[in-house]
Amino acid sequence: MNFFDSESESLQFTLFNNYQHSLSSLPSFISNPNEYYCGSAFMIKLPQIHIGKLSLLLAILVWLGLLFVNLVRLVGILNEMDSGIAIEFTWILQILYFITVYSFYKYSINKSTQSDFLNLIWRGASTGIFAVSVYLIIGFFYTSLGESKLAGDPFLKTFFYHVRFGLMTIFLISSSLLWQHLILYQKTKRVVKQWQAYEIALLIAMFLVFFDREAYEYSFYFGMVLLGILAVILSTNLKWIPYLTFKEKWKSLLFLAIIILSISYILWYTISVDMEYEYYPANLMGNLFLISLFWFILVYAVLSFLVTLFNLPTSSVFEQKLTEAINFQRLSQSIQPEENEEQVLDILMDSCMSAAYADAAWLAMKSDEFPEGYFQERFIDRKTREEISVLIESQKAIQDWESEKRPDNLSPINLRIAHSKYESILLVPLVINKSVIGKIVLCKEVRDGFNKEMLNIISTFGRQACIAVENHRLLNQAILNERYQEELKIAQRVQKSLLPTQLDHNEYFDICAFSNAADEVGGDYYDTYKLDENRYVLIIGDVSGKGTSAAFHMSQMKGIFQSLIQLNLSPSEFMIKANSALSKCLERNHFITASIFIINTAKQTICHSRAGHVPTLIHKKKLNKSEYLEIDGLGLGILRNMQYENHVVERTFTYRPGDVLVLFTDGIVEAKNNKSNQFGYERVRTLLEVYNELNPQEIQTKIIDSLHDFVGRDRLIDDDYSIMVVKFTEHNKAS
Amino acid sequence: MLSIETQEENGHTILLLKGEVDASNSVILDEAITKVVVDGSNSILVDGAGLEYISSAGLGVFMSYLEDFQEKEIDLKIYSLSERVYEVFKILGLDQLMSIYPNKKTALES
Amino acid sequence: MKHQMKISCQTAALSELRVFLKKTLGELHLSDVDQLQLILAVEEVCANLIIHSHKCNALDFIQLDIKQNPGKLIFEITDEGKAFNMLDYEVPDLNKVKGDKRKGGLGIILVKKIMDEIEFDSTRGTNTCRLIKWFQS
Repeated sequence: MNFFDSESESLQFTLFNNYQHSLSSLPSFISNPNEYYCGSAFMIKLPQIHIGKLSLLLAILVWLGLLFVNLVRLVGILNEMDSGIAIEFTWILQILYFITVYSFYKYSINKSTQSDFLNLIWRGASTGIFAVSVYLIIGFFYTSLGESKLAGDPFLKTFFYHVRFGLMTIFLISSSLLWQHLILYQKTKRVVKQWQAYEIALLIAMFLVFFDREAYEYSFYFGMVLLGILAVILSTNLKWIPYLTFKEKWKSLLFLAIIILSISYILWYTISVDMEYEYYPANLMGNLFLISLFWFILVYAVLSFLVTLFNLPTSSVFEQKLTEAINFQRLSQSIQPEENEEQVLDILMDSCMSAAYADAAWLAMKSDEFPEGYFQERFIDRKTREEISVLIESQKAIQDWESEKRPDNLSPINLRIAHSKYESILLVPLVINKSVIGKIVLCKEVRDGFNKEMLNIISTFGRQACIAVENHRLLNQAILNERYQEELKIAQRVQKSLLPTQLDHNEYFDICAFSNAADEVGGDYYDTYKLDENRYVLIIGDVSGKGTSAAFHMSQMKGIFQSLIQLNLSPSEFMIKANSALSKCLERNHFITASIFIINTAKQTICHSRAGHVPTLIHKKKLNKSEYLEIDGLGLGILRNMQYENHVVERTFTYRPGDVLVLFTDGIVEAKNNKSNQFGYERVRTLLEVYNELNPQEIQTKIIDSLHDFVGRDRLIDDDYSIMVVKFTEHNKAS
Repeated sequence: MLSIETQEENGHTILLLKGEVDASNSVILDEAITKVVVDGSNSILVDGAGLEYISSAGLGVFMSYLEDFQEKEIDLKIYSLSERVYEVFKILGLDQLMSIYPNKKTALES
Repeated sequence: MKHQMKISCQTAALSELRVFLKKTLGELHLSDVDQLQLILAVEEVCANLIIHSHKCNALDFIQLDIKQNPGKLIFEITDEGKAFNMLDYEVPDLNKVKGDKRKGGLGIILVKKIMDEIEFDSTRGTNTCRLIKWFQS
């Protein structure tokens, strides 16, 4: 019970020995004191003195001393001569005995680290049982002696009298200290003060004997009344009882009964036997201290017994409240990401059912995840559930309830239905993120079975559970988002790696390229391939659409390019084969535009095919003119049959050193400025005519820079764009 | 149309080309040169004054004999080509490979 | 300016082609040298097609279009059938051609040296060789 643990910690609850320990320790120090003596003697040699064992040892020594003194005094009394030992000596030893036993128990109880109320009471009860059994054994012993001489021996009687005194004291003091802990449970300052006053009064009572000299004068009776009243006042502190469960209450009743019986027996024995005995050297049992303790223990035990007894019927209510509190705590604990919502709804169902004492219930979800409706039934079958559902739906109040525009305002609704088994129904809405995701239906066999308190607590449960579910969803979403971001980063990295870092070329041309994706990943593609020493393939492509799906298609294009190009195909053959390959793997309504170039530096020719891609710009140095290579060609994946072949054009042409090729994608020419004007083909062409003397990297930078200037430095280009610049170098072996 | 007239002059064989040489008739030029070689001439002079046009087929014929003649120490000289035909020889760099002269006199003197 | 001619695939048609070219180019007031070289280049391409692509099959035809664009003169030679892309032929080394009886390759050198641009398009069984000569104006 987590709830108790945290509670008791916060209350600085003192913990006790468990009763098994007390059972074994109690008899052992009485029946076998030597063992303890030896142990203690050994302990004394240790640098630290064990207070508990020291006080125990002292108690035994004091008891033995008391026995000896009184035996000596008995000899004096029997022989009617002065033994030379004053009665005060007995009293001092008696008080010492009280104090040592008290300090032993005080210490041993405080030292105990583990206990609950039941263990505590059991500890008292077990001590009582032990004391009573010793009393009985002594009684049997005398019965067995019969009328023998030994039976009348005053020394033996005095010895047993002392044994009884010792046990009684132990029982009374230990029990009173146990009561102290029960009384001080959930203590207030006032109670602590009362207890301290009582302790002081008891201390004074111990020494009273010195003043009234066993005369039972007014001061004795006054003290008795005062201590009696204090005991009764203290005995009203019974806050621990409600925290016992029903079962624990029965147990505690049993233990309390044992204590009451033990104390009654001892009291009866003391009054009827020990008080009548005339030979005792001193009246050990008749002092105010012990009488007060008798009273205190008896009163508290009886009150506890009665209160526990009368608490029995209401204990279920208290337990109920506790369970509710615990359920509430469980519901309000946010769900861990790896857990699921159903667990929370499960707890909610259990909580609602127990809070309302419902006979049956079901959970109906109507979220996106459960388009068919998700049902969870408790103590109800599907048939009955559907019967009741129909009955519910037919009620007007429900129709209003379900058509509520602001689900936040929905609260559980109480219904009466005419069903053969269940007569009252409670509907609990589950509202998450301002929409009703489902409801819990609680059924009871009795009419009007749900009261206002139940409604309140269930409504609270429902809200709490919904908040937990909502938080869980938000958290999951956040985690998912983070994961998406992470995966996009991976995709970005993968895609970056799809674009070549090294562009194949030889000394007869220089090349550079650049690609920019509007989203994390883009659909633009460029690549190079070296066929042999003199022949190089360049490709640039643009996948329709953008973002992740475009990126996937782009990677397909890369695969197709890298595999087909090794077959030493001409540009038109490549396009035909790529088209048929892409037709099989490209999504419907998606296509790829591409331009492919095979550069032959030995023959100074370029063989080119275009598949719907934006035309490539070429600058002819000799003519000092830039123009677009506008040959026909259809995008890949548009015509997915042999018809495509009719739309492929392949052009071979010669180039000269100093000529420049600028391959790009539509993102460049279609980029718009804030006036919605496109960058356009003409701007790129003019730029190349102006800057063709520069090296490819510089030409590329000029084009991209002026593109950004055109669009506006502060605006983003919202499409993928790529550019590749090739410049044929002046030193060529054929020239 | 191409016509080739063969003349013997002081131990030289002179081929007078007239008309145009193209893929359709280069074989005539080839046969004429082969015949001259078979007949035992070791100095062939080609008079290009009447040559109005020559395509690669015709140039190829001359080219194909170059190595053979070097081995057999047969002289092949071309002279009196019109400017536009000479430019064609120049395009291919044949002016460096072959012995081309402005006129018959310079051809004989060399 | 736009001229068109259909040429039957036989070598005998080459002289006819030259006549057509001479007549057409005569309107342009070119120098003798330039005119002859343009004729030569076009004839070389046509001769190649007639001999190599069409094996001198007189029933096949090739078509010649001459267009004049600002600053350039375009000769478009179109034929049908298996593409013969002369740009795919390695430019031979003249010293090797010297003794070679095949005599091939010289024509391609000539065309490349004479023309400023050569384009070769092929699609749907139609091949177009485009010879472009620039004129600085």
